[in-house]
Amino acid sequence: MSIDALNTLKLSGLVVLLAPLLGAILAGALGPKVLRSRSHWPAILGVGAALAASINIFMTIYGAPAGEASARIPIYDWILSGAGSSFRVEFLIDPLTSLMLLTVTGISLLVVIYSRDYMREHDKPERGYERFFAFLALFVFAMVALVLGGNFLLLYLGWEAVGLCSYLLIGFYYSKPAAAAAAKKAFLVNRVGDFGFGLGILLIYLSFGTLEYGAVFEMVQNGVLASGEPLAQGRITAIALLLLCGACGKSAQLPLHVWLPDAMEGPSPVSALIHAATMVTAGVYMIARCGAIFTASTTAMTVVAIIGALTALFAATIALVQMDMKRILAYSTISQLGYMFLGIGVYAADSAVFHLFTHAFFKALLFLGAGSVMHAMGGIIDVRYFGGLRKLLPWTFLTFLVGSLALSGFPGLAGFFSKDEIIHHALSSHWILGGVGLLTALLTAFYTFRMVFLAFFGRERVPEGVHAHESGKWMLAPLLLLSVGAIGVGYLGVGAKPFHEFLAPVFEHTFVANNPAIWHGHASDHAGFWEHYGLMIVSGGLAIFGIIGAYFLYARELWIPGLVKATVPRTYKALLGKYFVDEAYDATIVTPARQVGRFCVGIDNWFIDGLIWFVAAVPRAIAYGLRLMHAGGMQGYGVSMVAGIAIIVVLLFWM
Amino acid sequence: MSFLADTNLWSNVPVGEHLFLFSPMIVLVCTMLAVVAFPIVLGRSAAVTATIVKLGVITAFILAIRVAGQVTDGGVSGLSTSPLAGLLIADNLAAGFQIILLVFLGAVTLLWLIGSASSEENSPEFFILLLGSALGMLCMTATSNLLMIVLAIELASLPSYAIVGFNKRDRLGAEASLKYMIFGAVCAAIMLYGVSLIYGLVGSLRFEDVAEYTVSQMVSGQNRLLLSVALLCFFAGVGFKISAVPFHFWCPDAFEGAKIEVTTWLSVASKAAGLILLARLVVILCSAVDYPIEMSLVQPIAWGLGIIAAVTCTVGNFSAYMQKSVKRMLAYSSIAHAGYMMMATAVFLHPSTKGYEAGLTALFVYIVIYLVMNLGAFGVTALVSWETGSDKIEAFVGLMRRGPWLAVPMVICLVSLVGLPPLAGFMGKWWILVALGKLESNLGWFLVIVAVVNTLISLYYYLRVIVAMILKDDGQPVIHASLGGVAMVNICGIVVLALFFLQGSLKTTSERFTRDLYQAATNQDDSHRLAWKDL
Repeated sequence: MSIDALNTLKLSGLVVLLAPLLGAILAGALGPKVLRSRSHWPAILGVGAALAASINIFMTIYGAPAGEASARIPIYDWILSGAGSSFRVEFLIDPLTSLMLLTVTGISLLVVIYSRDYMREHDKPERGYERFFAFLALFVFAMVALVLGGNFLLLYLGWEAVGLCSYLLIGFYYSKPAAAAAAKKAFLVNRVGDFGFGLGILLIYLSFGTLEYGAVFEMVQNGVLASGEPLAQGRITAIALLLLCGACGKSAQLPLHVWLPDAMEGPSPVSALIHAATMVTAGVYMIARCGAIFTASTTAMTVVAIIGALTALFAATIALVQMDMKRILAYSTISQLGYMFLGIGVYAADSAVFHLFTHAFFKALLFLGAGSVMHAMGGIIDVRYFGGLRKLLPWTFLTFLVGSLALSGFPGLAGFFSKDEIIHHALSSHWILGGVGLLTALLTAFYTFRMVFLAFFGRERVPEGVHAHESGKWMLAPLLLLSVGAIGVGYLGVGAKPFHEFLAPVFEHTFVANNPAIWHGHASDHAGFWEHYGLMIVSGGLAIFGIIGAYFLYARELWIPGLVKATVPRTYKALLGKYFVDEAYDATIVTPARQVGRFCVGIDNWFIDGLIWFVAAVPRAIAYGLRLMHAGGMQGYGVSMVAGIAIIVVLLFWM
Repeated sequence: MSFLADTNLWSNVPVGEHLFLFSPMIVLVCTMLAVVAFPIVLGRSAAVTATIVKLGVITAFILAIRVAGQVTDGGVSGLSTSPLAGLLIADNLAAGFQIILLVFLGAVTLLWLIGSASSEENSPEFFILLLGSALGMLCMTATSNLLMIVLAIELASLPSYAIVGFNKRDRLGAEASLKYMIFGAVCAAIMLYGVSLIYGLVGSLRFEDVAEYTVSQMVSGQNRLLLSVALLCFFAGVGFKISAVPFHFWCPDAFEGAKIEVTTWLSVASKAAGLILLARLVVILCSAVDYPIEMSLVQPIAWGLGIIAAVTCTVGNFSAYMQKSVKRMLAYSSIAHAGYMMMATAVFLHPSTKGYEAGLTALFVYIVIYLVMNLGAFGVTALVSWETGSDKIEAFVGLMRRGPWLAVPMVICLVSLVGLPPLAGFMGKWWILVALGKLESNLGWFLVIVAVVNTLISLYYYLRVIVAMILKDDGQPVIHASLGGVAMVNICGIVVLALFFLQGSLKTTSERFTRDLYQAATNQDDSHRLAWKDL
């Protein structure tokens, strides 16, 4: 890559990274006193600048000559340890990075704009308005750092920083007990995953002596350790599984998925941005980035695929019976993330990233739409309390419908193409994985439209005392733009497949080179008509079938769901209770942990505090003595000084 | 006057680029003269003085940066073209310290302009004293000649005595000033006695010669008692400047009686200068030792420095422990920090360190960070005490509400003074601990333990202020501090935060300012030096 291009990348990278941070600082520092109800401007401008720079990066990478689309850009040496190893602040910019940057900053900008109206009531900013925008911009900074970073240390920093922002924003209404509890839960569950992630990174450092992506991946591919010894299969599997542990926490995969539904206590824009479109996809990004490590271990890849498939199905079944629109969407997010994991697990990383990309559009759209409904319903989001809103909220309905069709995999919309690809690759890997993918596709269409019919069709009713009104233009504009995306972006993956073409250099030595399906000649681009279009027809058919089913059950024959509920009460209860995973964790982990905690508090109160009292009392006594010594007159000082010199002389000779 | 004969001071007055190397000092002298002269013509207003001082300090700062770009490795022994003969040296270390001291001087000037300029009619005199002591400190860090060291220490100290009691109507200040002067005079007398003994023994005032003589006497074992006493007496003067125990007794009264900006200057800048001087002397001693055969002979000196450092650190911390005034607490804690920094000098003399560079770099990094974070903390204390009329901890209660723009940088600077990440203070302590740990000797581990335990103790009294600012509130009125002061302390806070993330650059810069001292001055035999360094 030419020097000019590198300089462009460096400059743009710095802008992408620092503009949101500056926005966050300005919103936080000037918000309370100076900007007040204009506090959204620093965030909008900062994220906007980041988007502009991201576009610049994308164009540079897109225009780079073939084979040179990847650049490692050192910024400066951060930590120099004496032993010769150093940690740099550096960027790794390749097609994957540029796509992620574009997605993150683009969606963020729309969400920040949307929040300008959402975080107001009767055009009065809510309490903590500036705090909200400061955190949102800080999140963009952290997420960009995660994506841009050229080594595992920066990845980890970004990883933890987005977790922190997620915690702060879930608990944005911190005086509400449910929100505070949800924030704590999200943080603690992520801690479990991040512990494994941290261990994985430490193991990488111990094995390879560096944390820089390129160097680590090269050693993995050559199969050697830093010491020159061969790399054992067990070790690379351990590294991959530990990293996967972090990915499961951040991307809410089984068994660490429990935090995401509760995270919906945060404001809707936060759910849209952090808990649907961007942060939760960090796990997918990380595995795609570390393809060299994961594909070096077939065990790890199998585990990724199985976790993904199980999560997809598991979350989709729970979503069937939930009543809270945001929770339905949360389970659907978990399910869709499961698809992405499944895609990566069957060596179709480009398809997984493609699904990540399309999902970001339609899921952000759906959450923002749900937020618009919630705004209109005075904060109520439970579909039992309202219905038939399509006349009251026409624009919201229209955009929500587009998002729902995309999520269901309705032919021609974004979700259809990306999901279909993943199922295609899953089928060519193992028929059970593909079958689970198809079944989940049916369920997805069904639960999505169950929600649509309950909320927007039927008799028009709104909660008591609520004056329903369509949202303002600050909220509708992002919805419309995202709708265009939800319809259009899928076409990047058909025909000449420009999306996959663009990403190909990133994965050619990892996922493509190590794909067993390609070795066995199953998955080829020269498949016959039925192999190629048969699946499309099947999955499209399933989606339509699911939608019709939902229409039949929830818009026409409303008595059927009640009958089903009555015939299989146990299954229904299990689904409504989310398979009682929370209760199981409560009984096996939380309660015992609390008891250990109580015991520790006892020790802390009696033993450690006593010790600390003693430790504090000693210096206090000494300090008292010293104060007396310093309170004397000049003669005392003189004597003390001479005595001090004498003691030093004696000591020098005594030694 | 035979000792002046070998300095060639008068025969070889330099011109051109060598003279340029000392231009910041010359500018300071000119500024002092201008501060005296201009008010005679233009009237004794604070505005005139302030303009002159600002111009002078900024010019000196710009020149100092240019000088730093021009000094060569090994340095030039200045005011003489012969590298062996100079009284003043322009080398990396002196040039580097010059820059940071001038920044600090500018900040103290700014503080004084905010706090005292309006009430003080004698501003020209104040600045003569302040600039004079700054000049003394610069000279202290740029010499290895005993005569010049004595002169520089006196030049730095004499204005300090006057500046402590600057307000003649303030009884407390006058008393403090007198005590400070008596104590300083005693220390100066002890130091001069030491210097005369040394001259009698060695026959030279160059510390390079003294170091070689010391090493040779250590080898032969002659004159050991006399030499030790002489060196110790000489150290009294240096110890007085860095307030090392037992030469620290002047601190309580001086810190209490002086105005807060003067306290900042005395407790922070003069220690930094003293430490650079001490470091330079130890480096010279280090260079005179034939590595590694004779290294064990100078171990008592290493232990002596280490123990004084440990005691200084501990006494400073315990004295800060019970203080009710934040100003005094910070002043005492600066003694503790001088102790941490002195520990780094003990590292130089150890056989396993393979040279002084690691320790000296750690020391330089610490000094930079120490100046910034103390400036921030003292600055906030000054702004608060001017608004509330008190520097007691009670004046800080509820500061987070009353003045978040003061409270936030205060928290950053205090946490950094404790030495917790992600702030610069952590890196300062970290590099010193790493240098100590690498000794892998009893002395190293002893000092590591002392430093860590002291850090724990310091946590208590720093956190007490933070607790008062954030967790308590008794409804005191909002503080409206001046914009310049708020900007200054916030810049300090940002720098403290940023230096953590830019610590690689800080370390590289510090290495540049601490490398290759005395290449020309001490070791004519280059092969010897290379062998020593490579080992």
